[in-house]
Amino acid sequence: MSTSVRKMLRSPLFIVVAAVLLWFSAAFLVWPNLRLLGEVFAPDGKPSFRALERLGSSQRAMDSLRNSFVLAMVLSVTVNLVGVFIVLATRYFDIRGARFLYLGYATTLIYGGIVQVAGYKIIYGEQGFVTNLLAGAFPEMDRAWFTGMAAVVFVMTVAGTGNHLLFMTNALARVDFQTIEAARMMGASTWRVLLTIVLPTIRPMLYAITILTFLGGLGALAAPQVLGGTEFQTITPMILTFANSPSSRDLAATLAIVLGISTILLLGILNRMERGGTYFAVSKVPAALKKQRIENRWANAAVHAAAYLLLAVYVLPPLLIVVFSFTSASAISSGTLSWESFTLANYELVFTDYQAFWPFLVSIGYGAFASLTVVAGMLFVARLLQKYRNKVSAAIEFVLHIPWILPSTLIALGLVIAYDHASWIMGNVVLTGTVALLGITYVILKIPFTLRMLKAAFTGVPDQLEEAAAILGAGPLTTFRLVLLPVVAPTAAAIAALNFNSLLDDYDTAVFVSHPLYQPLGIVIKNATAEDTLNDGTALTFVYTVLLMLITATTMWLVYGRPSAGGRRKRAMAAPPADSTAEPANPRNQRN
Amino acid sequence: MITYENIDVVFDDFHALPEFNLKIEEGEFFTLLGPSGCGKSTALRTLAGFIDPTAGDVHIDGKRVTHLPSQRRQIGMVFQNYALFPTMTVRENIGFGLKVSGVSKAETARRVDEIAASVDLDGNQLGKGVTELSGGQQQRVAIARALVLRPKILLLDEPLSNLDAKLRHQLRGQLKELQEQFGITTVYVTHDQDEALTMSTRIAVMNKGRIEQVGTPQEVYMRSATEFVCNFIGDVNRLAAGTVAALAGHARENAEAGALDARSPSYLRVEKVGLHTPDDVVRGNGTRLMLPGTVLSRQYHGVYSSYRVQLAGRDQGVVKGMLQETGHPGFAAGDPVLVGIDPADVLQYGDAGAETEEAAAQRTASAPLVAEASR
Repeated sequence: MSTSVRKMLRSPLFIVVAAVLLWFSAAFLVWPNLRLLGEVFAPDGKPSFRALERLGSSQRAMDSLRNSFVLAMVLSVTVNLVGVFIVLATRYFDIRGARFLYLGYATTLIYGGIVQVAGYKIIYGEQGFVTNLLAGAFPEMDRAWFTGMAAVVFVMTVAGTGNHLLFMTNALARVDFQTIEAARMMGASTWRVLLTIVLPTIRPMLYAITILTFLGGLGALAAPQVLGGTEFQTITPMILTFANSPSSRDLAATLAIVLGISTILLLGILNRMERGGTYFAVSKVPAALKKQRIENRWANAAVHAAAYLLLAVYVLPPLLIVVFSFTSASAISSGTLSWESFTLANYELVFTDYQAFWPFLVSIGYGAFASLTVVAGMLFVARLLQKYRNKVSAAIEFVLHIPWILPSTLIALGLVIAYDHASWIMGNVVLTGTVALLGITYVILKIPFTLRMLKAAFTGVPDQLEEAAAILGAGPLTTFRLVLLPVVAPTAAAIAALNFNSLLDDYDTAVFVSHPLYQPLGIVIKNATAEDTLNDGTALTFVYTVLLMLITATTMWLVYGRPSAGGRRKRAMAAPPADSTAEPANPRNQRN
Repeated sequence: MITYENIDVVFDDFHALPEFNLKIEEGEFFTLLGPSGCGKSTALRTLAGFIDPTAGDVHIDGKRVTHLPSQRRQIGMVFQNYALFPTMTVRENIGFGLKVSGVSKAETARRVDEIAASVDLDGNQLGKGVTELSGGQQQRVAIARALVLRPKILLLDEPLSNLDAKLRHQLRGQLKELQEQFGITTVYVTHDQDEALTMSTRIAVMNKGRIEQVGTPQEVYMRSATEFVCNFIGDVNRLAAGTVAALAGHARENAEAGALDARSPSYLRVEKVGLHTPDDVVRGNGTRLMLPGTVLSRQYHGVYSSYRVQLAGRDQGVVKGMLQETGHPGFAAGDPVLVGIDPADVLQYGDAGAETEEAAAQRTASAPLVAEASR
């Protein structure tokens, strides 16, 4: 046994945390997935490939598989095209109003998932405001024009560029400007510098974003379900459909496993790329990037025009949602706005009517519970894993990353199947159908992100602080409480806030495991899109969306944008080291 | 008294400290000096209790403390990066140890004020966050925090390395004064030979986890026990075979000059190289061998200038010398010079790495540290 393991086993804190972790990992991370595999490959306790045969013979299932891969591939191209363009337009080229443009594009950071999909449906759908306007001008038009693969790709492309705004912007900022100056001095044009110096330098980041985009497309639920129509259904909506019928639950499980295997393979590739390293900061003192002028007048005008056109595409839906959240349902459906149409009644309703506020309360309750629980738990785990580095701690860390390498759909389905009957590992308590299951699932899904960020935060704390505390007489718990915790507290609070944010409008998980009487906001918003006509429910959805955008924007500001010197100092102290974990987290697109 | 007894520290496959033995006397300012990776910090951290030795024992005042937790060793430590708690004020940092050991608030405040005054921190600074202080002030806080608990031993792990040159020089003196004021046994780790020579009662020069020599600063400098110590401390010339042969011949002819082994690796400190004009009437004890040469280059350092001289004889190579700047123009590149070397100043190391006793004895009565300017 190595010294590190022996030392670790001498720590009472480690023993307690390890015992809890062992049970938690076995009960929630390993056993449900084994049950899922059992459901597919040994439904009657004997090995069987019947589920695979059934899957092969199901036209709908095979179509959904094909559609998912097509969607993932198309999105890899469209998201990159648009994403790279908006980052270059706002951060690389000297475009007028770049800050304003960036703010407009950044709406995708505070507005995504089911909220965004529902917003687009309500505005561009058959009864949508824009469709009504268009139908007025072109009575013969197909009112269901915004449906199918094109609509899904359009919405997911806009949503997917958030990764570029955060990660590619960050990568671009780290390109050494001296390399650009050197290329310029050797006679390279603006475009040649971009194509041969800048983009190749940030290529690893672009690969990583591409894989995240591909995975997003593969596991998409809300967009295909709401906008895909009958012709364009993908794997996850199909899993949901199959899971709701007891006779086809094995098909749901098989599809979930296919999704899981694809995800693991792609994440494996992503990890290999990360290990391949980046090309940044070859020079000891890199120079900050300066914006590049587009010398050609026509090219400059074309880029400006495209940038502002895209701004309209990005900003119009959230802008209309804000406007219509202050109007009556009739104004929304007719698309006619006058001063009389504006009212605060929708907001009054949400804050005064218990029924209207209930989904919001449920989401806040689940979000707060899960984000605080996971941060509190992972503070201890991350500290111990960072302190003791050996095979045992590496194995624990790997198990805790299971929710990252498996799609949330598969995890949710595994939990539903594993705990729909009494099980000794859960003390014979049935979890499926209870209020607790969604909270537990949220905690599970947030473990990898929280652990990785907290571990990075602890790694950023110099060992000497702990040694100094020890030599001054502090025991391990006192050191943790008085020295380490205050240092990582700002990071922990930021992680809790980001977790809370991303859970507030969750739909993908809730749709599998939520209790019928405790349905969170995501499900209520999705259900509002299923209505044939626009009604008061639609108006409420707009209010919910505006409130969610406000909460997300506030969180983003608190986490990234607060200008106070004290805040900056504290964040700097707790800043993780300069590795991939130091990348800012996309609150709308954290990998679960 | 601190005793390291047969300490072994092994990290995976790397033997950081093999069979490490050392005794440090009470009240000493003892320095562990050596290049990066030589094991000096490992030795210090083993004493602090941060590293569990694989074998051997550490004793403090005769008591075995090998596996005693750091907090029970009555040791204070100043870290290289100071390790100040960034979320606490200066006062909270200094008072941390008193707080966790249950000292009353009033007593903590009194002792913090007292120690802060002794390291020149005023009341205004006590209320500040540690990140608001300059590097020198942070260092004072770290020292105050280490001393406020009145430890038996103070450990200093390269505490000056993050400061600029001027502040480093200033704080050297203050650190030494504080150590004398408190009379505390101090173990200092550094790779800076100047710090070691100016501050220490005794120095242990370390290399690859082993101690090469323990001695006073004068002993280590003037009587370097091994070729490594000779090279590591000060600036030396490794003499070319032709020069050593000429010096050995001169020594044989002149009994006063001592004996030299022409085959042994031979070194000469730069300040022992005399530089003279060819027509100079050389003063001295007459044992010097004068070798003709040509100045290759000159570097001006303010107080002195250093020169590289190509010796004219076969296989005599290049030597470095220095001259104090006294207002005279000095030599320029291309000038002919006479290089005066006393064979008794030559440091020789045989296969065993030890200086020949005869050579060492000859050097005891050494020449002035800086060669006389004779032009």
